[in-house]
Amino acid sequence: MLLRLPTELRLEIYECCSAYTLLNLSQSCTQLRNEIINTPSVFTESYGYFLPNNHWGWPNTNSTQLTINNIAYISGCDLRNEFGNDYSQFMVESRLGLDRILGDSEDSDDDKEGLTRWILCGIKGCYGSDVLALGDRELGLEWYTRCFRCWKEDRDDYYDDPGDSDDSD
Amino acid sequence: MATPSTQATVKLQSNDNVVIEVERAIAERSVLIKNMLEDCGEVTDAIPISNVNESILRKVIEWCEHHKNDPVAAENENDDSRKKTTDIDEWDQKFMNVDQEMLFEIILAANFLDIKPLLDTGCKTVANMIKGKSPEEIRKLFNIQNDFTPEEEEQIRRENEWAEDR
Repeated sequence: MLLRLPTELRLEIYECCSAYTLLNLSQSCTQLRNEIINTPSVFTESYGYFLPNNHWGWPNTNSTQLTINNIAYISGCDLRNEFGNDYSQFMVESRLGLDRILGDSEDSDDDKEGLTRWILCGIKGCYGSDVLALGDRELGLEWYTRCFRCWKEDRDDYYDDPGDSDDSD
Repeated sequence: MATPSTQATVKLQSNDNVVIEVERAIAERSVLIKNMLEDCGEVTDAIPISNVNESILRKVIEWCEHHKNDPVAAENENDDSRKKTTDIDEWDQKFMNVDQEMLFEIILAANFLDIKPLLDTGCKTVANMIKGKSPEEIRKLFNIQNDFTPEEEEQIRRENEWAEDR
């Protein structure tokens, strides 16, 4: 049925999808792939899209690309889906609540060395709802500690009460 | 423009020729019908809804009845704010808990009748169905044929190697 919808309605559906969902959709068949890849505004404006051009060591990408390296934010259930390939379900679930970091280079075995990709946001304890992608220490990528939602909340708090820190006793 | 009508109900005729009488305020959740009524004034005949069959029309009316008191979004309201969240309220989730055929028919009807909030709810429901699924699971869900050539699959695989795996 999805393929029988008019293109404009599928585009409406794409607008509700995260970058990671669009990536998976684009790998399901040529028609969806062409529609998504040929409409960059659909994925560049999607939740979780990341253009890592400013980061040293990261492969050159441009705004017409949608690959796994363009995924910054990913939902908890997508995370389980992704890491189900590399870790057992038990390991993922037990790590979700405990460590904040999945696939951390210090904990991983040799072939996973440096493969830190997504961490769970630990600032406000929103474990599992939003996670953040990041690259590798050796690649000089910034280490984020907050997911987009918490970052936005903090920013809004700051603008609601900008003088808070200066005037407090 | 015709004189504004005060009629309390309107008749809608599905494409399988069933006439359903509904409160005008409910029918006017559809921008298409609202504009038609504004242009025509008093309408005594049933309004043909040519793209929608009875069961889908009844379903759409059920949605409009439940949402008849919702504020109508401004025409130029930012589309982004409507779509950036895939949260769907509980009643709508239950309403959309139908088979795939009906879900897509509701989306088509919402688009035809120009009921944006219903269209958004339908699109979000589909987006939520896809969320967390691998390409293979998506194919299974929508009965999609994997038509990538081995070369295309290899290209996709290469494009999606992690930066640090290279």
